[in-house]
Amino acid sequence: MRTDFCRSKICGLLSVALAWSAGAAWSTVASAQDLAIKAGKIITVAGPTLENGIIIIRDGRIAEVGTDLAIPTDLRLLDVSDKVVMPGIVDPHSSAGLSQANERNAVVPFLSVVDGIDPMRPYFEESRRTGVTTAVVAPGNSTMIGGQASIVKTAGLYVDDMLLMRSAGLKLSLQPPSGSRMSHIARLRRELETAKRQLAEAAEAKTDKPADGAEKPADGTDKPAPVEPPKPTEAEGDAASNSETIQEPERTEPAADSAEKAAESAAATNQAVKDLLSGKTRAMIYCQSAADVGQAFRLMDDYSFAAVLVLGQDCYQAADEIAKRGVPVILDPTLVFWKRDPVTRVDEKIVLTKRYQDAGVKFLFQSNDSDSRQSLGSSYFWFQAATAVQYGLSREEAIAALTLEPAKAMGIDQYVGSIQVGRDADLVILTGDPLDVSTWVDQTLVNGKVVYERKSDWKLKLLLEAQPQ
Amino acid sequence: MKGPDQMLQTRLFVRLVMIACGSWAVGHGVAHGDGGSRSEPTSQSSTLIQADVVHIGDGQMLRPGMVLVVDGKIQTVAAQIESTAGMQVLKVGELTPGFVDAASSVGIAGGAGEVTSEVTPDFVVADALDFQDPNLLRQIDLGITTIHVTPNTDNVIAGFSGLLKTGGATPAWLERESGLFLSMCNDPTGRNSSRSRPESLYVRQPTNRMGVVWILRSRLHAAQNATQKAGENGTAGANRESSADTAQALSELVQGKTKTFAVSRTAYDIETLYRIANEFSIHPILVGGDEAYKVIGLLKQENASLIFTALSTQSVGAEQTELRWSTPMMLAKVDVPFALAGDELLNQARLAHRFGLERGAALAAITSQPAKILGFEKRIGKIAEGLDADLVAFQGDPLQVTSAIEWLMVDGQINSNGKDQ
Repeated sequence: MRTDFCRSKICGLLSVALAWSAGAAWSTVASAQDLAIKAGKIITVAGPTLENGIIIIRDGRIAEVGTDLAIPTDLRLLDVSDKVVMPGIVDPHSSAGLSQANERNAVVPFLSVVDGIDPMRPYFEESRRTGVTTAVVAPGNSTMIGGQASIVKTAGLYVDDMLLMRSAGLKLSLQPPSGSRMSHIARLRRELETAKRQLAEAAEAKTDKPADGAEKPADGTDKPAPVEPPKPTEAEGDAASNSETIQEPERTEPAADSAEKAAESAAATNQAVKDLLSGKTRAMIYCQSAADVGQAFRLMDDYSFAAVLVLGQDCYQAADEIAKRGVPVILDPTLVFWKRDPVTRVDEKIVLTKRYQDAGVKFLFQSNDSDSRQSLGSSYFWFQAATAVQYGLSREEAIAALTLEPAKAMGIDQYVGSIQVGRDADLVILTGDPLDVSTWVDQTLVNGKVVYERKSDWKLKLLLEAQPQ
Repeated sequence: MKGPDQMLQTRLFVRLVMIACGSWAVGHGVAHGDGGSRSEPTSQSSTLIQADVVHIGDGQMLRPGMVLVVDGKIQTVAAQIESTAGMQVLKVGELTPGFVDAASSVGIAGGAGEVTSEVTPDFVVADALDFQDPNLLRQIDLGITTIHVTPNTDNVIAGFSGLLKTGGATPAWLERESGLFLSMCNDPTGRNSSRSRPESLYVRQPTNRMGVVWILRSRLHAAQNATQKAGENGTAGANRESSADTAQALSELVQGKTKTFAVSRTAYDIETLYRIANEFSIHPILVGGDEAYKVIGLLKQENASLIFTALSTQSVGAEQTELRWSTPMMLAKVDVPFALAGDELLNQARLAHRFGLERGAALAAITSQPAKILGFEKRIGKIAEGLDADLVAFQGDPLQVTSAIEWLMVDGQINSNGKDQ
């Protein structure tokens, strides 16, 4: 099954980590034993919020949730009756876990962030400290076809132990790094066209045989456009088997003669593009401006693929069109800013969440990399959500936009994003309301294991209990 | 519920008038603003504000509380005030004093540093202030009613700051020449072009931090000598007519007649600053203070006041440690008076509160404390009788990020709620 192997491995590695990094923020590790959590309040997100509820965790997953559950005597009890429990936050888009976000080459669909994720980056430690348990790690915003994003849990020593989904989407950027937008789009289309042709040829070559289940009709013109991002099956969620999906071009290619084989090896580099066009994966498209949003929709129509849009500040001008399409969008981390009209020179205050909310768009938050944050607080997800509430979003929607909505957008909501039976036990135990300015993360759990504890977070202690000299 | 609609109309009208009649307003403001006098609001004479909570600004609060505003001033603050005929009555959630940003560069046109000289004590920010700068409008949106506009740190002795109200239809000076700014930090070495263009007009000193100290010390020393000689000749003591006299400005500085500010961020700069200050018996107000947490004992000993800007400049400066977040809490513990200053003032107070600063102290750090440090506690910074009616109304707890600003009042006039868009 999906994670039994991984779980035992994570556990082993964490104990090793504990041995030599006693000071690390996630050093507190429970044994593999199961757990019951007694909480003052449980924000389930998927269902009603429970007062004085109980969560029973077995094998790293939520086995039971309710208010009048009997706690089995064999379970360790974590009594947090004075605290609030919510699902772990899902970061829908970040490059901060990579040692380098962008490539010099513009077209690198064959790259995967798995090879670039550094679990020792401060991003992961900070994530556990702030209650982010799942992260979509994506290539940066300035590479045209930047490679494949992955979804990881934020606790672990080796990237393989963290993987929830190896191939979560192909990152595209519509922002020309330099030079002309025309040539940027033209080149992107050329790449997509090549992949489309290769798919068509492959399909033609095996017209005699019954098509592979995963294969779609390949003429491209009457291909049904996937409305929703592709939902992975249980098998696709498995890190190991998913990697096989990506690395098995043989399965989708016909046995062919040598000339075709040569063409194939050239084509193998853009397997990820073909996976996109055949509906196996989605795109994550960075749009710098509202015009880019239009371009993204054209590409999605012309090549029939699904996408999550990563939006630059100015994209709010396309909010109505985005609402019509219903695609998931991830907002720029700077949620409030001023813009001067080029004609009247009148300043206008732009509140992104309000613009999208008024247009009826469901949006997800990004946080600023704490190394390069542009505005106070925007490196915290709670702050982003609280800002949205200040400008009219309901608290429930704001919490969902941190948890269940990003999980849905990335097709992982059957694993994470809510507190209900069968979900991974990725939980955040808070000292108070999630959006309150003085609330702190007390403990963070990933797969039922405590990976962060405030009481042993010496860095935070240094901050909060600092004594004047 | 007619009140809010009318308020909105008033706000929009004021806004439009500000945009449409910008040039008129500026002329008007400059003409009448210099002496600190304000044109009295004519549209309403008295407003009664009924609030669930009134935050006085010094840590105290009334719950519930009422504030009576008459002719732009706060006339009465009490738990209960009877409304009379002709009074406009406003109901709000929570009320705070208008925020005071004690270190801002908003509105300075044409650059805030001078590259041809490193000692410019006769420079005055007020002469370069653009009242039509849209950033002044943006201050209103942030709840900021008073800003202390400071010269930048390119020069060792940089010039005079100014203190002004942001929100009136006619922006006006509270104090045109507020205080003289010194840069006891590495910044003045940064804009030196002589390395790349030795033949340039812009060859200037200092080129390193020791040079900063040298220029500061030698200029102050020269001024001290000159003052002493003048005293022997019987010519000392004359107050300068205007700032346009470098020698006179420096002379007044060493005689302690000038309010002085000094920008220092690292611990060693702060230590150097107080060494020089003691040599010349001057008492500068510290601006910056990123590493104040390392020298809190010194600050206490020197009776320092601090305008703490580290929460808004996290990506510049000598150090970027997260410890700056708890510095306000540490300063409060030992009673070093400080103000939070710079961008996102309210969010600074919110985050300082998150990192241990008590709620009353967090609000005071953006209201009564900066008013006091700037010497204007009799005009601004608190909700108290006789002070200017500079108020911010919130839907909920002002220290929660989820709380929106409802409206802002400057000198009794409601300006904007920032929610128009």
